Amino acid sequence: MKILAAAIQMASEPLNVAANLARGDDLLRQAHQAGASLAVLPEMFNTGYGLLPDYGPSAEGRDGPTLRHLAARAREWGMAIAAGFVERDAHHLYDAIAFATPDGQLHVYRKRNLVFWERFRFRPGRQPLVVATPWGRIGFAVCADMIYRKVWEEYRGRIDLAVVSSAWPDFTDRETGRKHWLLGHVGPLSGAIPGQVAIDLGIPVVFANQCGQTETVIPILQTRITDRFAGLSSITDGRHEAPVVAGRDEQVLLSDLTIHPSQGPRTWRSTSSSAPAASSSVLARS
Amino acid sequence: MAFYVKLGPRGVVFRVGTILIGCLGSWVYWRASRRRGMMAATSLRPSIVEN
Repeated sequence: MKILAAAIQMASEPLNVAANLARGDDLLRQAHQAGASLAVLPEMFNTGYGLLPDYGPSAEGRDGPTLRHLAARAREWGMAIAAGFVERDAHHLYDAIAFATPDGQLHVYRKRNLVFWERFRFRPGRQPLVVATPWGRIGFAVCADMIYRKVWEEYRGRIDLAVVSSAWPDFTDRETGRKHWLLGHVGPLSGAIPGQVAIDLGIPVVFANQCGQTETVIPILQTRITDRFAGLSSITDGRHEAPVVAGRDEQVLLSDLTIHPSQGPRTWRSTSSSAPAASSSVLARS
Repeated sequence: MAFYVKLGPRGVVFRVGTILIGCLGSWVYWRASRRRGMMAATSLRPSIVEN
């Protein structure tokens, strides 16, 4: 099945949810007007990404303004939307992706592999998420999830399309151009891993990254990099076409994808019997 | 946990750093989440108005 997908590369303003929602909506509208069936926004597109004092006031549950807005747009425009946000569940906060579908379903995946300062602000998710759609089964990952083999081994053979929402920095001083001694070589991986996954798993990958300036803080190492996000969002078909890759600036990246559903529609939310009963990947029907 | 891509010797430093930060970070997170829980409990408690 062929669909038009959009990877939305966006620069978010820290903790200015209203402005980020408005900007995200403009970019989603462009994707809709181009005829996209699936649009992916970056990790924490609504709050901005960085070591901020407290995400609590900007975090939201299923009835929060961001998810209500995305769900309404998905229904109104007949477009599936995946977007990173900060989820609040009781007194816990998660770095999460919401996936809203045109038929009113809302799924949430919580990032499992937290890095750097993220562990200071968020609780890690416990489970992968696979959502059955009319096009095939979609698996989700957030940013640093990408670098762990276990994540892709769990999805291998179980998904027909991967969606990755990210706020991946360059790890390079934006003023001097000097790469960080430890992480400088990690920055370019954001451009390489989605394509590698697409070929390895034989599936299309839609990767949406943030762009613009940031500051990367690494606790314990006392490292603070005057950084920028890597951009380079991409859409990789996996079997047919060469990857389509964005530049460094804000952009709605569009590309056709051919999805090969292999095992029929089935929603799958756990790979391990040790997964907690209280699912970290919740399905709600509004 | 094994990396999907080769990180070379720096991968070892990255892995050790992630474990250390994970331990310290989870303690900081636990304190913050407990504070959020206590604040939520306080705000739910009925207030007593004395005449």
